Amino acid sequence: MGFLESVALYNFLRGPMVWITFIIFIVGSIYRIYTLINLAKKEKVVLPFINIKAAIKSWLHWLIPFASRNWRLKPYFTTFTFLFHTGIVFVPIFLYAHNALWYESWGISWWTLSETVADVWSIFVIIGCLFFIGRRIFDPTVRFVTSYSDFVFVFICLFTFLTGFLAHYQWILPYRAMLNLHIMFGEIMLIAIPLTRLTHMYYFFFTRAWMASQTAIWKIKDW
Amino acid sequence: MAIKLEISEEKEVYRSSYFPEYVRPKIYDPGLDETIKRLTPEKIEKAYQAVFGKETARIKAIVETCIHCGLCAEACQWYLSNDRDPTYAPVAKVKMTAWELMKRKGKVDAGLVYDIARIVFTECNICHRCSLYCPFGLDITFIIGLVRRFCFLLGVVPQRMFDQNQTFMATANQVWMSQSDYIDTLFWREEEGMYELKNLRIPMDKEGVEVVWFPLAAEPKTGPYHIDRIAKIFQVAGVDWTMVTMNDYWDSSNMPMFIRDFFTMQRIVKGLYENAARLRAKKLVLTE
Amino acid sequence: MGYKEIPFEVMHPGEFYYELLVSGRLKIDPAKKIKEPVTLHDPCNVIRRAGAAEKFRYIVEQTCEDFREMYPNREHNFCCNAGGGLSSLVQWYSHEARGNRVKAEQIMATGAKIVIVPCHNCTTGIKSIINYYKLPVKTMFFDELLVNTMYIPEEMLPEEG
Repeated sequence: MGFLESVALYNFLRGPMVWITFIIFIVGSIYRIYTLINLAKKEKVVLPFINIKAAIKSWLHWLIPFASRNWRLKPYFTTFTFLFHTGIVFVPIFLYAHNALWYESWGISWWTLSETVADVWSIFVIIGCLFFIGRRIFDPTVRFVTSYSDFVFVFICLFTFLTGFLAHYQWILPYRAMLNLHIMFGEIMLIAIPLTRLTHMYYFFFTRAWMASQTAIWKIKDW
Repeated sequence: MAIKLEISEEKEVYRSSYFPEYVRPKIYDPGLDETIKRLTPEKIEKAYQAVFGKETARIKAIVETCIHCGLCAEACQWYLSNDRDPTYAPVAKVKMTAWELMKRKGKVDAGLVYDIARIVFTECNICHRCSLYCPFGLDITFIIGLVRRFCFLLGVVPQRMFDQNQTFMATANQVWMSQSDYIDTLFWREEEGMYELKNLRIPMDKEGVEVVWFPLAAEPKTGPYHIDRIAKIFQVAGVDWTMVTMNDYWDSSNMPMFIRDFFTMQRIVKGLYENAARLRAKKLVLTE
Repeated sequence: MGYKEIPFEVMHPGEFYYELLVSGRLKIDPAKKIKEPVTLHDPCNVIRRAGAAEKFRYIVEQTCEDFREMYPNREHNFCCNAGGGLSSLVQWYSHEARGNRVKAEQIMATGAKIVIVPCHNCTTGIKSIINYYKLPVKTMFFDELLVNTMYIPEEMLPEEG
């Protein structure tokens, strides 16, 4: 327990590790997007058929809860997945504590969430994680196609939010240890985004655009 | 449709050695059961390299985006009809075929090729419904098509499908119908139809028409009434139309597409296209 | 997706019949309209990949009096299960029919006596479902539908005898 609580670990995670994380995250993301577009250029049948108007419509319909047929067919899943995904993107950005860090380092800050909203939203994200894990274990269809990496992704998100929440209320572990864990998992998550299938965060827009363009040629809607 | 369904109602069960969940009734198909005996690991790997070897954007995007959420399952009629059997879900089909091949880099044995061929040829209709239900809009059928191509390169294709492909190669239609038989059938239908509609005509190879109608090969062969029905409709509506008898390219079905034999597929499309272009048609109406 | 610019339109007969009906070249005889309840199967190739759903519905509504939709319909329809080359696989017919119970349930839920199937391939599939599950329905093509219901001018009818 001593190591987790140590200031040395905290300094490492707050110092060089942050830089490494952000460099990997930003450079990796740009690289992933760039290579995909570059590969698509080589295939003659992809880019000439992309229809931006259809793609935007399709993005909107799939990014708004219950706007597409499959979202309506699965109301529970839709609720959890939207709370989870919006939470995982917006809570870290607009959290007051994170903003304070930005302010400390570079003197920038922006609009923040109130504490209650952030807490409730984090709890929803945690519930969403548990829902996904439950689905992967108890739904035979999903269980059949689940690999270990799928669990790992969900657990990374779960631990990041859980440790952050617990650190804020200083439960279970001492504050310093929990905070170190929280920073560590957060950094792992950011690094994992460009390196693993978590890139679906970016690729969503590409694959959706492709299908939307195809269905636009077929004169139907893909939502 | 006098097919005896009892023939294939066998009680024997096939169990995949790779996926314990994959249990199906045993159905004998020489195209699958006999051809896998000819396979060698080298052949399989070569076919794998030919299809999946080159990294392409579409395969990459599909494989790296799929988060295994299983939302596509509800879209598949196979899945819904078989009491939500997990092995019938589209994502499971992709998992058992393309992912398995990619995971093993094509180093697989004939048993897996049998499973793969059975999944992609007899358990997927390439209906594209799953793509409308995937939150990422992944083109699952594209992957199934690639795997079909892989199976075709190995020659592991259900017998009837392969047979039809060869029919297309030889005669450019799916029923071994020669040009003279075809013309004869058209004359015969014209004659029959005349009793129901005065001066019924089935024009052949008329240039500069409004519509060229390409039938399905099964129409002159097993359902000839379709031809005079169409002729009657066009005659009553006063459409300037024609049918094509030249160059053998008159069958609008394109069975080679189903096993991804690109060469024959292109030949057929090109043949139809050129026939229509030669007749300077404004519209091409393919059969129902 | 090969040819981007084709010098002629490629259409399904259903789309062409729709043009004929809309432009008034083909007229429907109201007395001959089909009275039995009908339903329409949406073939994947024409509906999901060419968006002809509304045109087909127009034809059916013009020629039939009691049209009942299947649910889900249009581009969300279920496949006939003969697509992708399965229609030719005789050895697998019962496998194929077992794999499409939802379609049988869909058809029965409408209570229709006739299923209009504007696709040869789909007809094979639907017929194998009908045979396997012993459904009290029959299939019908658009051409049959139109030949039976269209208005034929007097001068086109053959002389008696």
